Amino acid sequence: MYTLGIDIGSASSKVVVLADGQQIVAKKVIPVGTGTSGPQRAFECALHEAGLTSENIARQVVTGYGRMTYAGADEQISEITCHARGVHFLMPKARTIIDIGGQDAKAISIDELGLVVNFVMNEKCAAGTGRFLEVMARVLECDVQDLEKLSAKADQPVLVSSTCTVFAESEVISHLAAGQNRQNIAAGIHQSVARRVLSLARRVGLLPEVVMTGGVALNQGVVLAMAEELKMAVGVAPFPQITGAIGAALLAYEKASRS
Amino acid sequence: MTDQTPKTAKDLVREMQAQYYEEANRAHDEGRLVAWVTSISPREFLEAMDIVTVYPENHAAAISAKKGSMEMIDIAEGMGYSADICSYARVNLGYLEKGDSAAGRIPAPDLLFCANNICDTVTKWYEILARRLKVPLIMIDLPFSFTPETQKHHLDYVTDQFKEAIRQLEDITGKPFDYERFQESMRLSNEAASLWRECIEMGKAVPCPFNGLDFFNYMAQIVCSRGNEKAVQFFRVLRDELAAKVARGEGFLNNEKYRILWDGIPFWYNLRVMSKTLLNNNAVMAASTYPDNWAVNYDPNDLKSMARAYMGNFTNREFSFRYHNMCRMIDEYTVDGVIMHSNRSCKNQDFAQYALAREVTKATRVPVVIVDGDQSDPRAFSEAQFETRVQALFEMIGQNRRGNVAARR
Amino acid sequence: MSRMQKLLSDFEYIAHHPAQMLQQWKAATGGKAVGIMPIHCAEEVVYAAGMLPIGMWGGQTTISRANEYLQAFCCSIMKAVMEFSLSGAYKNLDAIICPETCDTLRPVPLMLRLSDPDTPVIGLVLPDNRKLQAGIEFTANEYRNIAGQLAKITGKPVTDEALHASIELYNRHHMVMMDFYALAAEHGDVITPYYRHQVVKSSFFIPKDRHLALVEGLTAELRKLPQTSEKRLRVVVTGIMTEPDELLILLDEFGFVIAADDLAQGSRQFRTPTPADPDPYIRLGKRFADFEGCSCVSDPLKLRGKILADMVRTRQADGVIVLIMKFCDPEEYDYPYIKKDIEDAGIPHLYLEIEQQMDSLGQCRTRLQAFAELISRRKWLVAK
Repeated sequence: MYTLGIDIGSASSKVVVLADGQQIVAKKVIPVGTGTSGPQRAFECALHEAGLTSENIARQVVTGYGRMTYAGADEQISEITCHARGVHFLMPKARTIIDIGGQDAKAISIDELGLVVNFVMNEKCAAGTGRFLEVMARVLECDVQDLEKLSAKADQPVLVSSTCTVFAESEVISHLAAGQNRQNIAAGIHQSVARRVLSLARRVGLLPEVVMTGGVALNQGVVLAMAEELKMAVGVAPFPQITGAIGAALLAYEKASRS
Repeated sequence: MTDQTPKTAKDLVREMQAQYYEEANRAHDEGRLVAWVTSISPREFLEAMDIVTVYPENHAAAISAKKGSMEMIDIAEGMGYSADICSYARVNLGYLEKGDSAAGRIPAPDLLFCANNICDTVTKWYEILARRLKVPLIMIDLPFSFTPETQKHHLDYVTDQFKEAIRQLEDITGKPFDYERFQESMRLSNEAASLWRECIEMGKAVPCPFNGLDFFNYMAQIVCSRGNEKAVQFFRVLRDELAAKVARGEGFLNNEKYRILWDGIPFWYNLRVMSKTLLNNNAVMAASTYPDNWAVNYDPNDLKSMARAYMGNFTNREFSFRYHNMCRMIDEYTVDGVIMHSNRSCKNQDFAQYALAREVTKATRVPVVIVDGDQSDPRAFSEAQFETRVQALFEMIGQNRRGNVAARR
Repeated sequence: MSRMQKLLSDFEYIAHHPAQMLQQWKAATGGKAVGIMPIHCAEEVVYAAGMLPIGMWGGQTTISRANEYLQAFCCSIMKAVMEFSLSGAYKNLDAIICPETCDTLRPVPLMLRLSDPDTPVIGLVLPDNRKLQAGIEFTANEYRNIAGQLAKITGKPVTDEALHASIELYNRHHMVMMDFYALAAEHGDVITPYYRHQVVKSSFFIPKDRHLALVEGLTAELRKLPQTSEKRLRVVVTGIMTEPDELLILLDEFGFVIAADDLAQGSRQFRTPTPADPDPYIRLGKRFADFEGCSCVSDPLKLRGKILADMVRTRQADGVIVLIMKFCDPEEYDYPYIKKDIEDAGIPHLYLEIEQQMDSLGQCRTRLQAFAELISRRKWLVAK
């Protein structure tokens, strides 16, 4: 039986096709989100990759910010429940999930069954999200992907203390003007994201294993900063951007196989 | 031959604060009880029972000054405390978990002594401490006054609570209340408070003999040690120093251009920028609404008088009091401009500021500028904003002078 | 339209038209009205003075002029009150009573005087040491003071008899409200969160005797109906209030029924009866001494968390929704310890930050949905 999960965020659309609730037969990430052609393209590409048509899909679940306006699914489920399910499938020992996306961040604590115990979210403030890194990358005149390489070469991270993105931007500009090198500033930026997110995450309790998901989890600089700040090992889920879609497909399978 | 050079108040206060913390940290070894206490509480009751008073607010300020407040705040916020609540509370609650800080340690309390004449926040904070530490909480409820005059039943309620506090202290210590020591503490407290007021009022002199920012350091003595002999001696030294300067016509600044009134608590984590900005513009902080809170004078033989004094600080008073007080200070201290600190931690003070600024300027023609910040949470503060706004204040004063508005000298 | 639907529609209308209710009452009686700021004020005194107490709980408005008086980090309820005051919405009030509920309510009422100097603002301070005899007397004296101020406005003194009668009426009203709450928990399909709130909210805008009669009518109808809460997710809501209306509609959409509440604009007003005493003012002092579990009232033993856990147990709730009114210090201080008490009791909870005026509820929607999923998955797995 094939089931499909689609996660429509503000900045990207992700689709996963699952066979018998076990095997990922297709996955696709399109870097545009709700209100664009992204969801439809991701859907079609994933089906194509799996060699299937929409009639082959037994059940479809949609999640993410754009779930309310998406027409094609059998059910919509919150990204909290989907991320929890997806990460539990990939890493059964995970107990705390820290998801940092383009515009939001969340922390979810789950139990041994993968059920959500508690969660906290931040969607109001850009600090501690992918957006913060984009702003800072622009100030450092590099691509967001390069921040990781820069901070790897730091010898002494520069403190970026402002929690407001606008204030932090001024702060980074002052550091540059004062002659601080970009490597140390990049490391300071990663620390700032880590601190901000952990401040949120501590509220659900940080039980090991701590696992990161979301686009920002691909940035090793942030992952290392988190581990250092936490003084705990921090893992990264395989396919960190699509854990929500995986969870959605699994939840679709759960229901489809029951009926 | 010993060095006969007398110590300045600045040297003394540094020494005395260090001694104060050492003594506090020794208290348990010496078999004395420790109380955590709010900043304008009637500590005379505790002094009577030889209980060491420790001030979490003062400790939080010290931690901030040593740039250690964010560490504590992160811990507290991780526990679920909102960034919206008072940063002194967040720093202290974070400190409780960590057990150490950039400003060292304070001894754990055997009891808590909370007076809410500064705000309602302390009641919530101290209740949490009582639950967390499982120690008795003595609550001195000093009702807020919506009217300019203090009402009789308010005074009755407070004096009854004083009696209840005495009973609670006897219960906790297992000893009878020492009324003699209490009298002595009250007498000394009043003396210190009178001297403190004399010192503050030296700011009326033109040129102003002191840097008002220094008073935020001296303050520790009137807050923490008001009621003992050493504090009284300290304030005599300070008063004599300042009186001598006034007699000589000596100002803190050689070229005093602007006289400023500061409203609120300073930015403890960045006193440097306050100092630098004023100095660079030949501005002196001649007056401040904050230190006056501790000029607590009353008749030591009358508990009602003591009640009235402890209910009467400006954070416990309504708008018209603050308005008249500020207008009076502007006049008596020959103030050119007012800087109000919109302190993210202090809603009690802040939500009257916009209206107060307008009314005060209307009445006195003196410009007022409001700066955003916080007492101990550096995230709420932007140096650039502070400098820009204060600069604008000086420009407004200059403009007024050229236009001969409120020509003062 | 059934009698039930008519009653619910009436409650809804009253709750949404306080100004009109006030006007109608004044036209019918020629009496005077007193605005009551939140949270705790014994309206009985106002009622005994022959005046209409009207709750001032803020409301739906665009905050603009209030920003000249209040920084951004002021709670939305007070901002709305300030906005209404500046726009003249309160001009029909003959006085305003302002309790010193929290630090924000220290300066704000005096801003009201600046906005409208003709309407007297009477302060009310309730004690922290409320259980001491001195505290009970203090409360009594504060209400005597209010009675005296009101007498100046009406030209008639407030008699002890009138106050006793008023207290008895309010005691009956509060019992009926608690009865309504219990019934509402078992009739979740009819008394949805939205309508439950309308019943409560309307109590602040009409005389208590009239409201009591309406609620008794409603509970009589409810008793005739079969229970309809089995498929719902039972929650206890705690906080200041459940507004705006859209939030209540979301709660219904995700299948919640409010099994009980610990709301300032809710059971905290109704759950403590006023005990007997020959002196009616002392009765009010005693009630304030007996009352427990509000973030804005002294709670040195921190009983609120246990009270919530007990509410969950007695009403067989599946979880707690903690509605933190943004910028509400007292609620924010309480959260970590009530969270601990709830978690220690094995009860799941949702932390939901709200403002009285919210442009978009997308964020609330996601959180409520996730919480509904969390609870129902647990329920389902337990059933399995």
